[in-house]
Amino acid sequence: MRHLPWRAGVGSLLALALLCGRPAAVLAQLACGAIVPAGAKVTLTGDIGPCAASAGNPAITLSGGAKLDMGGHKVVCDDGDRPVGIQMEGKGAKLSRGGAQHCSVGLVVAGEGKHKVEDFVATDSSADGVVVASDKNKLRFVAATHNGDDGIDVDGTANKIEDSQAVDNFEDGIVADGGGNKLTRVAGVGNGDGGIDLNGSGNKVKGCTGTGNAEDGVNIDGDDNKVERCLFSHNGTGDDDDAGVEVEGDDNLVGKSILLDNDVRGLLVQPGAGANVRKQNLALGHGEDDLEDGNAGCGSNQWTKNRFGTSAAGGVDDPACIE
Amino acid sequence: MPTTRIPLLLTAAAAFGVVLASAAPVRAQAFACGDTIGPGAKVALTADVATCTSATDAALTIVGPSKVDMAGFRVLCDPNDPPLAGILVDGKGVKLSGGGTVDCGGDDGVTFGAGIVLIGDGSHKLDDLVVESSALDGFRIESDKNKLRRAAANDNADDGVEINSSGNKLDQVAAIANQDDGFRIDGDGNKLGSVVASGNGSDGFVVESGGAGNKIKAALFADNGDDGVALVGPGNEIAKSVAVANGDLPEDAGIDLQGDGNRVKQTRSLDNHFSGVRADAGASGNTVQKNVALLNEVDLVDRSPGGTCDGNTWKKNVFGTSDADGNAGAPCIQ
Repeated sequence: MRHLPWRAGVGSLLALALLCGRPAAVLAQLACGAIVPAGAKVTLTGDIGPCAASAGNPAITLSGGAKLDMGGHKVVCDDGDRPVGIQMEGKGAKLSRGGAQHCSVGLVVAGEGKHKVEDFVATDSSADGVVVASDKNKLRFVAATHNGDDGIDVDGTANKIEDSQAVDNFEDGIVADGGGNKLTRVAGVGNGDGGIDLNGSGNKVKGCTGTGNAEDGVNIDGDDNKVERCLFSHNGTGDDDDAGVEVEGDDNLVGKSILLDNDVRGLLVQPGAGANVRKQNLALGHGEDDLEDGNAGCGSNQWTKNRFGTSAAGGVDDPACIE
Repeated sequence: MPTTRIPLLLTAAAAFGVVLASAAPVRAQAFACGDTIGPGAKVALTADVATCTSATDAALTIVGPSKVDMAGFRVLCDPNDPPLAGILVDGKGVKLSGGGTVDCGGDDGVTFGAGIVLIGDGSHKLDDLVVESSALDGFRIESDKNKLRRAAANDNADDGVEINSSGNKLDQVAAIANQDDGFRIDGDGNKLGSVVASGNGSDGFVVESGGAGNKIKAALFADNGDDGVALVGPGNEIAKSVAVANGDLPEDAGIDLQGDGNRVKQTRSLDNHFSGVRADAGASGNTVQKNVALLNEVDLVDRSPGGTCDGNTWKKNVFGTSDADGNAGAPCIQ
């Protein structure tokens, strides 16, 4: 690894990238507004900032194919003039081992996608912590905490988010507005709205945790989503629609999950939502019903092999359609 | 924080000598406050047990071997006058599932109770239970070799789960929004996997000075008021876990090592109020290896005097900042 003891700017990095067909990683200190060019491999030697938007927005841009190892350091933004912390552009950039603090958005995964992010923390942003705006990205070990809007907002499709947490964000923990994303072992804890929101369709969530969120543990507004092997406990603050799992869309599956002591319900399917399957869940200790279907006779929804205390469908207690 | 054991609370069978249900097959039955089930019972509840007061030490006592399916019903206590235990599990080999307690678990000034208390000879197996709003702890485990699976202890006035015994296994247990600690262990050789401690008023997870050789794996400690994890006792291990956004005081840590010979490995400690992982002054022989600590005020801290991490091993960690007794970036923290 080569060491650049000086404050490397875009020019020197680009020169390095051009000098080497396959550039070695360089130790460097990037300036606010720097662009890491395509093909460059950089390891940070210190924190960056505070960066103002007037000095360049985003504070750091990662071009396609670039690799930035933050070496445990972070981008710190100027509270009074916040840029995006780090933005990934193009295709196939890699970002690891760092974070962003006090930015407008901590990290934007944009461009053509297929980027990789590993071990990154976005905290104290004025808006979202992490926005995944492109497709087919892989994010692993990402945390979003204390951000002013959502923790992790997935707008793109076919992304993989693994082993990641959204904690104490002002609005939702993790939001999947896009479709076909896979969220594995993710957690939404103590967020001001819901823990996980599935507004898009065809998303798969497995092994998740939603605890202590002010609204739902998971809200499924889209269609054809799957939520399996999750734990939802102590979500909701008494609003009649709050639940461990609230389903408003169609053709969704919720299975093999544990719903304990959510306020107000365990698993709630709203009126008009149809063809949803609820099977092999455990739901106990809820202020209202453990399992509730807003449709008379459960409509076209299927409830099988669940374990629960109380249930209702269309206002009728203990309906035969909920098993 | 109450620490008095429960030598107590009734050894149920002796206290009451009542068998309300006996051997198989499973019998569906309603129970009243103060009833004892077993030994040798197989029953399923048909209604809540309510509303129970301190007129009896336990709202419901189960003596093993017995099998009790609560069938979604709960023991409901008077919050102004709760019994010492909502459910007292005694004898050996009780299987209890599918219910919980609300507003139980008070104290009489001598004995401190809980929503569900495990005593006797242990080897009890508890599944699918919720204990909420107890006047003291949620679960209190005083006997050995019990299994607790798929359970939650929420909104209790003291700890969520307190373990004062050994060889217990907990899996998929959540302790949320309890006023004191989420999990508190003062016993040896317990194993906890996939547990969650969030939003508790004090520590998410603490092993007290009397706790040794406990293993915690794949756990999440988030948004707790003090430390995510505090290891006061020796020889405990945390692996493949996450401590994130814990603490609101200057000294709060994701993981705080106060005892000796503890191990923290392959764990992430992120955005905690002060330190990610910290070994306190006097803590020695700890190993902190292959962890990731990011965006804490100081990621890795060793308070051993002299700045040489005396006896503690820090290696192969990913971090941004470190401090050994006031020496930032000291080489003993790797």
